[in-house]
Amino acid sequence: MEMSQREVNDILILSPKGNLDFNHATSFQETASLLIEKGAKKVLIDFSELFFISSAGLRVLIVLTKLLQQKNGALALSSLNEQILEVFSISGFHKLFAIYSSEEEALKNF
Amino acid sequence: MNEQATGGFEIIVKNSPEEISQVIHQFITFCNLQNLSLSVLYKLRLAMEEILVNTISYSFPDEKPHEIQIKINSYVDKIVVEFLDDGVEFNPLTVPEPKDIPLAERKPGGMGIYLVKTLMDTFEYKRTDGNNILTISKIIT
Repeated sequence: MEMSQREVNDILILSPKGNLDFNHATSFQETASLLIEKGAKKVLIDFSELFFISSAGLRVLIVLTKLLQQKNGALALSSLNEQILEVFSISGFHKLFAIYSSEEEALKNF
Repeated sequence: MNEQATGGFEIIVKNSPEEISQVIHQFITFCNLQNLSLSVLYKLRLAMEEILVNTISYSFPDEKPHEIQIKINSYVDKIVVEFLDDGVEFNPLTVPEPKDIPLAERKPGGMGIYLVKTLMDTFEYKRTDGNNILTISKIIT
């Protein structure tokens, strides 16, 4: 899936675009995992251009969190839209991740 | 109750993951014509993906070609989708709620069906003549 990436201070910011669904979850997981394997410890996923996430996408977030925990790193999320926040709330995922309303807020507090 | 559908269509797909994108595309095109809110559209799209992925992944352990019949109907106040397949008996109503499982103990699967059950207004399963029939509906007004 289309995704831009940049680093601010020591935080790797990933900005996937479109839909984190069954069709795109694997490629996103592979790209993000590779970056973590290469040494990224603090990873922020910017959801500002992500419109949709299904359980396939949620699973990837769990995989990435576990991978980062093994390396003493952490995952945070920012700018989730209303619909995605509802999915997080129903699934209990809002309790599992550091979620920030904007990238600015995430960079300040992560 | 004798409601008249205001629109609808039927698709028959093979039990292959490659079919899912095409079905979702057709479904979204249909939903866009119904002037649904973003919230309802998101939930219906999620339901379509989760149910098809689940059915294709788990209903056909014989790994032979099968068909899944999907009937989509719109009414004045709701969208109703029926999924019929001849796979192994699987009652999604028996899937446990994974919502409160700590991250370290979470395993793949289960979450998708739980989301659909929670986000739809009705979720009904029956096993008839060797077929799984799952019917979901979402109020759109």
